[in-house]
Amino acid sequence: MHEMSVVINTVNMAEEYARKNGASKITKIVLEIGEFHSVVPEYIRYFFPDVVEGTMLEGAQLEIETVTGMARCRNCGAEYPWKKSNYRCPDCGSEECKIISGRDFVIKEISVQ
Amino acid sequence: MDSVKVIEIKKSVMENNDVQADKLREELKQEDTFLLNLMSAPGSGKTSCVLRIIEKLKDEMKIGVMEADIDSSVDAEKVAKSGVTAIQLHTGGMCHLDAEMTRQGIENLQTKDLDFVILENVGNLVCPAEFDTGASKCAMILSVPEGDDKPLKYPLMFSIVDLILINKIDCLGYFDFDVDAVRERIKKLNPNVTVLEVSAKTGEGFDAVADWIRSTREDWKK
Repeated sequence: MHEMSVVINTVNMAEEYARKNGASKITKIVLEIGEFHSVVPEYIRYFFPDVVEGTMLEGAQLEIETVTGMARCRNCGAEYPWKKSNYRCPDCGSEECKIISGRDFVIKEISVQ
Repeated sequence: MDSVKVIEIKKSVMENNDVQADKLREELKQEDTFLLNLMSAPGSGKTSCVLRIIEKLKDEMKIGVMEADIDSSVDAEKVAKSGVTAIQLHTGGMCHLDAEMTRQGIENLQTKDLDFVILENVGNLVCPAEFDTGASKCAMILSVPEGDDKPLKYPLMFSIVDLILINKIDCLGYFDFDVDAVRERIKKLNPNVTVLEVSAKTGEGFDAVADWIRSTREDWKK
């Protein structure tokens, strides 16, 4: 899997924002990970401390929020949580849909000093 | 103690790759090089299908192939024997190609005079689906021995592609593989995708694949 490369990109991006804001240390980072993104949050938590060693994020608190993946029904247009609804539109029963969210990996915010 | 300040970012970590991919896609369009990103599980017959496609199209298009693997160059050697330009990309353990790695491959292949480039991605149905490589179109292969339940298990891959080849169709009699069920499952995820049944072993179905490439490339040029 590619958790490592995603975390490295995350660290680079967070540092860039911190620098732009004149900060020298990041004390906390909040990530929003879509339900259908293939990275495993447990792995990220596991090697986060090692990846951030020597960066502005060293010692930072990591918070991960999971974002529910939504689908839009191609039949009736309803939007519903895809997995929770068992991959079927709760309004009309159709399984034909377009996934509209839950695939992202987003840095929500950072706390800096 | 310094005061803590919260900075709202709300930005996708994948955004940098998406920007790079769009840039590469535009550059390839300018030089008229149609790039097809071919994905599948290991052993589904990517290289054999690539060879069949080359056979059908090499007299009318200048073709290049980029073979991405974690290690070895057996695929690139096989493809080079068919008379087209081929290079091997080593991902060094990475499970997918991103736009930057694709760009490096494109630069090495010197695609300026090529009409059609196939990027054979790393064998994997998960990670390559999440990384836009900058390809003009995406295709995938599902082979009969893998089973007809794969669209249920890897929905993202099946939902992002423009072409799906069901390979090893000559083996249908030996497996409990329901072609209609697969088509139905795919249609739910991706109603506009083209699904073609092929056999890289016998060559069955590759006229239709060549037609799809020709017409898709023509539409893309407009």
